[in-house]
Amino acid sequence: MTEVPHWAVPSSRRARPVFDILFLVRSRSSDYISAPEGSGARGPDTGMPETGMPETESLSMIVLGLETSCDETAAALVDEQRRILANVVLSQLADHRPYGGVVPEIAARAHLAHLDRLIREAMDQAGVGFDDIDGVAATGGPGLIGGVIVGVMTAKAIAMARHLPFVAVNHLEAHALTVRLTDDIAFPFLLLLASGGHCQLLMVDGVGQYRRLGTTIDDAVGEAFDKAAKLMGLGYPGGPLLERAAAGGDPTRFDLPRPMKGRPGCDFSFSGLKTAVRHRVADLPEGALHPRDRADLAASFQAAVADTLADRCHRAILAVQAESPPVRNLVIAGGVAANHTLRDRLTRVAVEHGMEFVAPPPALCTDNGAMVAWAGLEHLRLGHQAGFDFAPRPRWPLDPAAAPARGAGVKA
Amino acid sequence: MKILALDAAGAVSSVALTIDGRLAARRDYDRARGQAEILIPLIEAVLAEAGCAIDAIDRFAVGIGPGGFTGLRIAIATARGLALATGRPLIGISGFEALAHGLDPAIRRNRTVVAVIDSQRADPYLQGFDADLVPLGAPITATAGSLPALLIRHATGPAGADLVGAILVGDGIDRLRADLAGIPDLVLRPAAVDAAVIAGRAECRPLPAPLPSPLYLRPPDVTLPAGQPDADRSGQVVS
Repeated sequence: MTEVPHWAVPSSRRARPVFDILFLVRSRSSDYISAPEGSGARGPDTGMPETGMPETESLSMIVLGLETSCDETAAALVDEQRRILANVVLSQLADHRPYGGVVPEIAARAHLAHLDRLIREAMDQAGVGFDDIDGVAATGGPGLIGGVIVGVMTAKAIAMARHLPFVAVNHLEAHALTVRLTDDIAFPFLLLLASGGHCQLLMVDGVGQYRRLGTTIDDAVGEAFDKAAKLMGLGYPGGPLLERAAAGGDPTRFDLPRPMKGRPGCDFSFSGLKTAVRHRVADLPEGALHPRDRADLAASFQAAVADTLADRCHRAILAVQAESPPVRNLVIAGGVAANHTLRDRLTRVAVEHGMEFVAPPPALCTDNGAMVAWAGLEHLRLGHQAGFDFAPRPRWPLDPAAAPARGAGVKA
Repeated sequence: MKILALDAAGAVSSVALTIDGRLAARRDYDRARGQAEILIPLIEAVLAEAGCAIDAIDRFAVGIGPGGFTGLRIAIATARGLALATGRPLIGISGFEALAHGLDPAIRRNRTVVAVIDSQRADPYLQGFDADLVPLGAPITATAGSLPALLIRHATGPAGADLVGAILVGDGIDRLRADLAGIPDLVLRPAAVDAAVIAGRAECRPLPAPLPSPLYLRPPDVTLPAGQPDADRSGQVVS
């Protein structure tokens, strides 16, 4: 951005413009844990945290963000100086694990049971009251509609009761804009959005301005991880478990396809890779996989995904490198962006093209409220807000002009 | 006392504002879809008509069902958000209680009351109340064909009430008509849960009240993968 926007505060009044996760609280069970001691977290009954509220609080916009579109219930507070004042995430993983996937009705029930308590917790941790908040944002879609409804209605109710603007945030845009929160990345940038529900390459020209360059024509990349992990007997969720299993494995031992590699365009396909993994597993001795075989197969799978993503990103860079203004950053976002092998591989692709590779810290790649709060803040300072009659959207493509990919359904 | 009550559990949603027990404004919405869009505007309309600011509300109340899961979650998430943002108490009232207390006392005098709610499945949910509207037991699911026996067992429990001469109220009555044919002196009152009644019930509840959660009365529809216990439910899993 070149002009100084109207909401900017004089630099002398700005607090440290650093990315500063004051409270990142994450849990792997149905019960969330409070921020660890010494992290600066505080209860509602103690004084202000030393590193908490900025001195410029009256000048800096603070937005509450709610995320309930899949299996994380999350609430966060983010300010205009790109600081995360609180970020509370309750994972429902334990509730869904027995089923090997997210059960929509179980997720919806859990979101409703916990969301208001998590909001209270986030506000207590940040030392922020409703009077200090300038807007309420919630994921308005795409996602599991039963959960989206809980976040949207809670946000609307708070906004109505406190006379605040409400922002319905596109979940994919929240992932896309996270690097502007963490790394202050300027528009335009090239984005690989890779998660359990999506796999797309997009040009991000501005807030709300997306051009889809390619999408999966069947499975999402995170879905491929989950399915491959299941075939290897690794359990759910597959992404982190497969990455752990691959550590020390030989990525060259199993010959797996690199779907779409070398093909024109930027689309993805992962169902053939999944089938190939099934065949390799069938070729191995029956019963549970030997740890060596499993490590090698997991590593080979990751290498195949990395090669495919690298090829597709390479194609996308070629497609946009002549554009003006120039595209300087290759960004990855979404849950799959937490995978270190893929991050390393895509870093190399970016460097080869003289670009910078940017990925949020792994904890902000998976679903969270801070990204929703930030996307809401970006919209609010452009004067955008939603009406209280906003209808939650199970499907909400970032680029509505892009043609639907038949095999991918809502993933495109 | 100013009470704002909402209910979206059934086919008719309602929002009502009572001031010292008197209905000040109300809005109804008679479609089973679109509550997420309409609910906050309905609340705003009710507040505006009553000339009441949201900050002036003393208590919020919400219907906790049973009913459609989506409508229930829309109303309860909204109500919990309002309570959180205003710091005011929130009280949950079951649909059975609201239906029973919504009856004209002259019509239900000396009669056992059975509130019947459409479960959107074959078998409705019901709960019995004695003539003083004290519950006769926990809510149950009626099973087709077994209803008269079930009702009699349910309604003649500890309080010794008699189903003969009972009054049935609720949107689930239509599904029971065949089962009810042989019972004498039965009064049937098809009716929807009314937010104004919910507000009235919330006014006399002691505080602090438990945080309202939906009365689901049904576990999530889902199948455990093969090899796991309790794999008898059907449903869909997304990965």
